[in-house]
Amino acid sequence: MIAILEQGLLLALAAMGVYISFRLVDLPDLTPDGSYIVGGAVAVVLLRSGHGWVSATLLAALAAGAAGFITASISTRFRIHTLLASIMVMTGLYSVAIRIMNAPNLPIPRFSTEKILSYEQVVGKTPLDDILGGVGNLQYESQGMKAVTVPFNNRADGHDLILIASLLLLISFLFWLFLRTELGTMLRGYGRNRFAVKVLGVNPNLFALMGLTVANFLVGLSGALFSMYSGFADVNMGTGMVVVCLASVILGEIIFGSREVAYGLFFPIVGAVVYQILLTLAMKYGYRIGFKPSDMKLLTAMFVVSVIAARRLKKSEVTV
Amino acid sequence: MIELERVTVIYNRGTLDEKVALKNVDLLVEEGQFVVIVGANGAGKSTLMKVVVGEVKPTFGVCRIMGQVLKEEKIFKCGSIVCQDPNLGIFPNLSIEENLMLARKKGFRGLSFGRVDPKAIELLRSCELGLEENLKKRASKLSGGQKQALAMVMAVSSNPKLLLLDEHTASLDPKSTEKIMELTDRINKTLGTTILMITHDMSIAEQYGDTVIVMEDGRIVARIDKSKQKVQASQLKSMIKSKLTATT
Ligand SMILES: Nc1ncnc2c1ncn2[C@@H]1O[C@H](COP(=O)(O)OP(=O)(O)OP(=O)(O)O)[C@@H](O)[C@H]1O
Ligand SMILES: [Mg+2]
Repeated sequence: MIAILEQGLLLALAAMGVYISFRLVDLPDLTPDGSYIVGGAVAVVLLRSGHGWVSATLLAALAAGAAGFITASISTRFRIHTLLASIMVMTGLYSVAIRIMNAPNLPIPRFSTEKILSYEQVVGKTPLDDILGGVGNLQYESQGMKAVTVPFNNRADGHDLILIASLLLLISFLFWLFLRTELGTMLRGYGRNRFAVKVLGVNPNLFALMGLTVANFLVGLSGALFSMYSGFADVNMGTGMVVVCLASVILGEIIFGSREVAYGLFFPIVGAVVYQILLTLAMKYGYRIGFKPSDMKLLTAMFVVSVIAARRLKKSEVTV
Repeated sequence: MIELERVTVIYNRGTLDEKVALKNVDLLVEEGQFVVIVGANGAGKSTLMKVVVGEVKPTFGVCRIMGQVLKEEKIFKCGSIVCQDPNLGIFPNLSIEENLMLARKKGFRGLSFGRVDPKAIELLRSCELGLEENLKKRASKLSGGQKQALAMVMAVSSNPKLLLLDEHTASLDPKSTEKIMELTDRINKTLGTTILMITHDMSIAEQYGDTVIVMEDGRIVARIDKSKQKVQASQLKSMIKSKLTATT
């Protein structure tokens, strides 16, 4: 159960990003499918080259945020719908991620591997250590190599959960505070009325840039932390990210109904946890009704479409 | 304040949809004036206003605001616009309070927590539409008249020099219309804001403003200065009517 919560809260970070783009600033953005991988790829590469996990995570999130900035720039500069602009960026990021990793996937080794990469280094001990029961780490440290530290221990003992939850709470609180300021209020206003922003003598495009940058920053953060959590980055890990996050946001909206607490920032958090629980249940018991784990994406997409359809039937005006 | 010199606007020039919306229009509006524009559908009234705010560039001629040719962003730093649709002038997902807080001044914002200007609330109260009762209310829940009143107060709370009104009472009931028009007049009289207003309502054109401009087919066909020509209210209506029919 703890592991499910951990993964749910990691997903919540990305879902919060999607909530910002799709709901708060109302700019449908598919960049997350790519910026999630970029977040993971940058983080892993930096860890391997000896960076600490804090700076690696931060830089990874910034790289992903830059992707969002590029999408918004293309969209505003050339007056293209964000959907189209983000498809371009997302597709391009696939190649960029492979360039960053120099491979389609990359594990996080126990020791920084600037020069060599061997099985022993990745695992942290040699086959001889297994037989003789020696402690491998010491051997590598004595060779002057830096140990790679990740913040997670993967023991599902609550340590990881507390870390992820506090990070999520801190970010939500800071963002909530931001949304209360004049700038944040205007950002929220922009989401529903671009024209009124213009009449206030402010260029509305600034908010498109701000919104998509912050959104993808959070997605990249999620990708970076997930890579550290699972021990690798893979070029396919971002596929379907937007749909999964959107499903989480919608789940949250259904759970909270019309009560909009804290500008709806809890929608993606609660939604992502519920999504993760549903996912686990489907994986665990789904086989009884002939369900395969790979069917999950189809199911998620169908869920999103059916909720939108249901809303469309109820009232005429719906945003995706 | 506003100076249009031989302004011609041609939409979709050089295509099958080519449309001449303004033909050689000259217009001078002095500071503090309250000018009302009337005319049939398609006469080019909204186009004239779009030229003033810089949204549409004149194909020929120039438009100067306070002696300068300004870009759209600059014009909204010293001017505001309220349109026919009550949802355009407000932020529907924000509370009345937050709306007023944002409208307090023009330009970009910082990370401070804003306040509401007490003067704005005073202005809100003066419309007598019950807006000041619950400032925490979401603006989307207001009635059309209430929204428009809020939009008007927002438009003037940054003390703009120029206020443009494009049929801002068109979707309102008679009572709201009266309240909004009283507010409009008060803004012009007490704050000295220059107003350019479009209306289809002849009784409004009679009652408010000091100059009436009649437009027809992209031209200004008459300019009636109420104070100079000492026209009676009843006369004005027939004057406008005769001008409108004379050209068609
Ligand atoms: N963006 C546009 N592209 C092409 N033609 C336009 C455009 N806007 C307006 N027109 C045309 O220009 C003419 C003048 O339009 P305008 O909106 O200025 O009229 P109006 O006097 O405001 O009319 P109404 O009373 O209906 O609001 C109309 O014939 C209209 O079809
Ligand atoms: Mg019009």
